[in-house]
Amino acid sequence: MDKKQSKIIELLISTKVCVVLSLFMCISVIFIYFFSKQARFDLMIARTVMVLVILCIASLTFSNRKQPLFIQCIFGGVLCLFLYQIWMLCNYIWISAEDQSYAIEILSTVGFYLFLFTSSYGALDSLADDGSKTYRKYRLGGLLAAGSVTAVWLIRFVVQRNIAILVIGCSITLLTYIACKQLIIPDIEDGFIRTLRPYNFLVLMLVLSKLVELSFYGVSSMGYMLVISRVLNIILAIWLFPLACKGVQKWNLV
Amino acid sequence: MELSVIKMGICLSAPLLLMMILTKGEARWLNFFLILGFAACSLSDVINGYIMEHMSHYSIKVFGAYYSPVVEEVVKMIPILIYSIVTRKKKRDSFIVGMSVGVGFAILENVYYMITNAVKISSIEWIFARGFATALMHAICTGVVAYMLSVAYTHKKMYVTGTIAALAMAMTYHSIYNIMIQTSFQNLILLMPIITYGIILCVRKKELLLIFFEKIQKKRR
Repeated sequence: MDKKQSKIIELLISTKVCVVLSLFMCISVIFIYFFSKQARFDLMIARTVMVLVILCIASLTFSNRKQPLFIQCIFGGVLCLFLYQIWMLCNYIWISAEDQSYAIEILSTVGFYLFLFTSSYGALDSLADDGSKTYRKYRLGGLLAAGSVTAVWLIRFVVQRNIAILVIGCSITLLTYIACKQLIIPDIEDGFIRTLRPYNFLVLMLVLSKLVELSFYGVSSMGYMLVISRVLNIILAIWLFPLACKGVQKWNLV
Repeated sequence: MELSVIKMGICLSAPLLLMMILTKGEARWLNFFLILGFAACSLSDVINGYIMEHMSHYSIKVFGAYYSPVVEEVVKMIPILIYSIVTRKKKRDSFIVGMSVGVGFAILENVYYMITNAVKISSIEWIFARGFATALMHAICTGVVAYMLSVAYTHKKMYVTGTIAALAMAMTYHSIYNIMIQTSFQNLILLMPIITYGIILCVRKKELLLIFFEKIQKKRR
C-alpha cells in the first residue's frame, strides 16, 4: 500500500482525531439535552453515528495491511457495538419492548465484552503469563478486581432479578480479570504488555462505565445516570481501537 | 406444521444423499453440509414451534426479533461445532463450510415459505427478497460463526469466548434483519446482506484484486 494511505490511517487513529470525536460527542449530547424535544431518540442517533465513525476508522486500518489476531478480535468487538446500536434503534422505532428482562441487545453487549476478553486472553495471555508461581500475585490482583466488580453487579442482580445484569455482569467480570492482570503484570517479553497498558486501562474504564450502567438499571429516578454512562461508554469506545493499534505498532519498535 | 418441514427436508435431502455417494472430495462435503443445513432448519422449526406454543402472548413480530434468531443461530452452529471438534484441523475453508449449512437452512426455509405463502409468490420482490437477501443472511451468519470457530480452534484459549462472541454477533445481525423485514423499510434492508456479502467477497478476494491492479499498472508502464 502507498505511503499516502498509511499517512491517512495514521491520522485517523491519532490522539487529535480521538479528542475531536470525543468533544463532538460531548457537545452533541449537551445540545440534545437542552434543545431536543425527543432527547432519547436523538441520543440514540448520536451514539449510532459515532459508533459508525469508529467502525469506519477501524475498517480503514484493515485496508492498509493484515492486522494481528489481537486487533481482529477488537474489530469484532466494535462490530458488535455497532450492531448493538442499530438493534437498539430498530427496537425503539418498530418494537416497543414488551419484555424488559430479555432482549438481543444483551447478546451484542456480551459479544462486545467477550471479543475484548478474547483479544487479550486468547491472543496475548500466553505471552504475558506462563502460569508460573512468580505471577501468582498478579493473577490474584486480577481476581481481586474481578471479585469487586462481581460484588457490585451481584447485589444489583439480587435486588432486581434481571437476567440482563447477570449475563452482562459475567462478561465484564472476565474482562476485568484479564485487563487488570495485564495492567499490573511486569513485562518481560519484548514489550508486548507494556505497550498495551493504556489500552488495558481504557478497557477497565469501559468496564467501570458499564458497571455504573448496570447499577442504575431499571431505577427510573436515576435515568440520567444511565444516559451518562452510555455516552461515556461510547466516548471510551472511540479511544479503544486507536490505542490498541498504537500498542501493536510499538511491538515492532521495542 | 413442524412435521411438514421435516418431510420436506427428507424429500430435499434424498437426492443430495444419493449424489454424495457418487461425488468425491469437496463436492461431497458441500453436499453433506447442505443436508446438515436442512436438518438444522427442521430442528429449529420444531423448537420455534414449541417456544411459540408456550409464549403465545408474544406477537410474531416480537418472536421474530427476540427468540427465533437465537434458536436458529444456535441450531445452525451445532453441525459446525461437531465438525470442528471431529476434524480438529483446518482442513477446508471453514467460512464456506458455514455458508453451506446456512444455504441448506435457507433452501428448506424458502421452500416451506413458498408453499405456505402461495399468494406472495406472485410478487417478484418477494422472490428476490427470499432468494438473495434472506438466504444470504442465513449463509453469512453461519459463515461468520464457522470462521470464528476455525480461528478459535488454532488458539485454544479463544475457543469458548470467541465462539460465543461470534454467535452473539450473528444473532444480533439476524434479529436486526428480522425486525426490519417486517417494516416499510423492507426494500432497504434487503441490501443489508447483499452489502455484507460484497464486503466479505472483497476481503476474501483482496489478494486477487491486488494482483489484478498490479497487472494493470504494469501494462500502463
